[in-house]
Amino acid sequence: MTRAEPQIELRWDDYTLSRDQEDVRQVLRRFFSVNSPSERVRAAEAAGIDEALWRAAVDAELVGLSLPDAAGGQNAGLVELVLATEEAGRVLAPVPLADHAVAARLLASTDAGHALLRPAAAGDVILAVAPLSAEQRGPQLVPGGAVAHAVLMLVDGNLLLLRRPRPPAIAANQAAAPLAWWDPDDPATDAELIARGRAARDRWTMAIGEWRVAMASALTGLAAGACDLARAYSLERGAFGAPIATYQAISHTLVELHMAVEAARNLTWRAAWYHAHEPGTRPELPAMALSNAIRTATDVTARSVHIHGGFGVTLEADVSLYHRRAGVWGRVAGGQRLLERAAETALDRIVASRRAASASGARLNGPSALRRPAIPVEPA
Amino acid sequence: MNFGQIELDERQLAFIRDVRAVLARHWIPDPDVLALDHHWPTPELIEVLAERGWIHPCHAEEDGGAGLGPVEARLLELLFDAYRVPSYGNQFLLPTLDRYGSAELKAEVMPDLKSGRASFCLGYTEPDSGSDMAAARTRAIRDGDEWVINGSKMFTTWAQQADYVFLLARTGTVQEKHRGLTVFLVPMRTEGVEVRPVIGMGGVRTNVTYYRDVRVHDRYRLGGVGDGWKVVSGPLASEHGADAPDPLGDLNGPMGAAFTRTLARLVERTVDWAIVPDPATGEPPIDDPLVRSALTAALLDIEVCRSTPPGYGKVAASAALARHAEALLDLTAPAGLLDGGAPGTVEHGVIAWARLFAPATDIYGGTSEMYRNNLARGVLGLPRPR
Repeated sequence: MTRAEPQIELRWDDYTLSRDQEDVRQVLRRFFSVNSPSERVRAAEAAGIDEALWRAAVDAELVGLSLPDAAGGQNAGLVELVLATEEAGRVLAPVPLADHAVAARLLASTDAGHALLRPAAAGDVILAVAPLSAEQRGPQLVPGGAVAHAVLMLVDGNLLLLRRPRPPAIAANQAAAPLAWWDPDDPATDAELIARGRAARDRWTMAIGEWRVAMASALTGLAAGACDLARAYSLERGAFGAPIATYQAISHTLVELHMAVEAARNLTWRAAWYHAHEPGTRPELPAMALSNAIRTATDVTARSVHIHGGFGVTLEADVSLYHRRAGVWGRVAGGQRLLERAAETALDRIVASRRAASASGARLNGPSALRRPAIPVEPA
Repeated sequence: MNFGQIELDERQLAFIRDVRAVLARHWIPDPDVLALDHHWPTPELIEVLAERGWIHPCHAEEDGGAGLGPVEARLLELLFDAYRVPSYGNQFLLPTLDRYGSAELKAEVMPDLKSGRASFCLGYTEPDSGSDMAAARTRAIRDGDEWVINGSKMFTTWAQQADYVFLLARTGTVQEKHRGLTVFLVPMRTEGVEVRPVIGMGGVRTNVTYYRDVRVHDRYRLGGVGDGWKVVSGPLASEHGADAPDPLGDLNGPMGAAFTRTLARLVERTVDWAIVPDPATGEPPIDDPLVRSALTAALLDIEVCRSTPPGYGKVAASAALARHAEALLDLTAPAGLLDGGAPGTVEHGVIAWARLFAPATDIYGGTSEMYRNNLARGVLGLPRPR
């Protein structure tokens, strides 16, 4: 009988940031915590963007952080972009950091000399992608589309750059997110062909993976911010003569939420690393990271609202800002249904390997006559 | 940040071949074993591994190890897992023994514990105290150069094989709580030690051990009288995954990683079931979108478990295992409900077995609630619970 030789794979499992990455993270955290207090988040809800914050982020070189230096960016990678979107997400910063960066990186990877790249790195032109355009025809609901000057979409296999004299109006939503409909067939919209065929599709696939990890990270930051609010509230709010944090119903919940955020961040980082370095090895990871970040953020904010009691459901409670956004941000490219389909490559690989093992008779086959009765007989 | 493959040199590739050859000769992997910490190596395998220093492979050769570097040690760990070699070793105990044992005791017990020819079991829990470990009532009373131990310990898993029990005993009063405790390394062969089996759901064996006028010399004491709480804290922390994350190891700690691997094997076995056409319909279940959805959901949670920090890895993995064992068994119903050996059984009953095994995983090694209590104070800085 042939017996399969069990295979092993040796990889690093190293989540530590480099000194530079740690520094970038500290700069980002300081910038957004100082410049994006909740009053400003509320004040920007009607416009969908805080223009002054956007300018400040440009001046701090945060908008061009992950854009190529040839385009006037700081040439950092996807991991740095993920660090940036987490810190922006933590304070719900009303700037389209993730959408703009992913779109600009897509444009730069396809047409490095495109005239819009330098103004994009300088923040004068805001870009966005239509994440569902490759799968659904017709008008596209574009995240950041209500504040974008140009939108990239994949239509019939062609990568198009759409421009309008001015952005379309916000499509009202509970997150006050600057979502807007962009219609490639609208005669008022100008479409420029950027790439076609294989090149267009490959670059688009990379961009969608980047959008997923950037959004997963923004949601991780959002969830972390909500956790901080809930923790602080649990220490100051008293009931029955003690801070509510002394009750396990509250403290255990806070631990669960905190740990879910930590895991969501690690999974997102791992997805970002694979997508940047070995996109073909674990193609499902960006979808998995986003899928998990959506459920984490929605669960964390719902339970953080609950920890705030009745106050949590009021519009004046900051935690309600988080809950409203958690339900929208990651789902703009379709919800769990589509993400699960994208994650199925992981299952397909296992199915293929188990089929191959079963067909070759090489399935690990030891003394499997082992019979394990569920209710055991008394051992001798 | 790095998740890349590690290039192996000729020496490391030769090491892999060597390990494979040894295991092919001395060990038959059992694909039905989903949980490696509930099986014990054969005496033959223990001797073969001990001879090569592979039970504590990172230790120096003169310390019973093989002096392996971190890459070789990780390769060995991955190969042991791939070949379903039961988890075995004294790594949680050795640093504590080294620190708190007398020179005389170390000379007596360390050589065999270091090589792995001898083993130990944990004597923490009692019939009346589990999570509240410091409420232990097993009593040790000094009598000249000796101690006389009376009491009982629950869930002393592997006591039937072990050479020693790492025993937490009360030398002070019950009111002193953790200040009245002392630790002993009691040889299991001592007169008055009795091991009785306790069988858990799924046939998982553990024990209750009784201590009746068990006399041990004072040299078997670890640490000072009344210092027991300090002595157990080291091994407890390691078991709970408090050691610094190792870039070559599993982020989610030893137990978190073990339960995650159990879940991964469970998914594989469910796939094995799903790729065979259902005799009733002629279609393989894997073509059913609901089957694919349940399996993909499990794969997502496996990735989340792998991404969970060590202090919480066990809690996350035990919950994921319980949830998905239930869901995957549900997919295979009704045939999957049958025990291995029953006519028409699915995958030798291992999916049904996993459901029975799962509830233990958020209890043994510390309940999930204790982990949450500790993390609430240690990580979130919350006040002590009322």
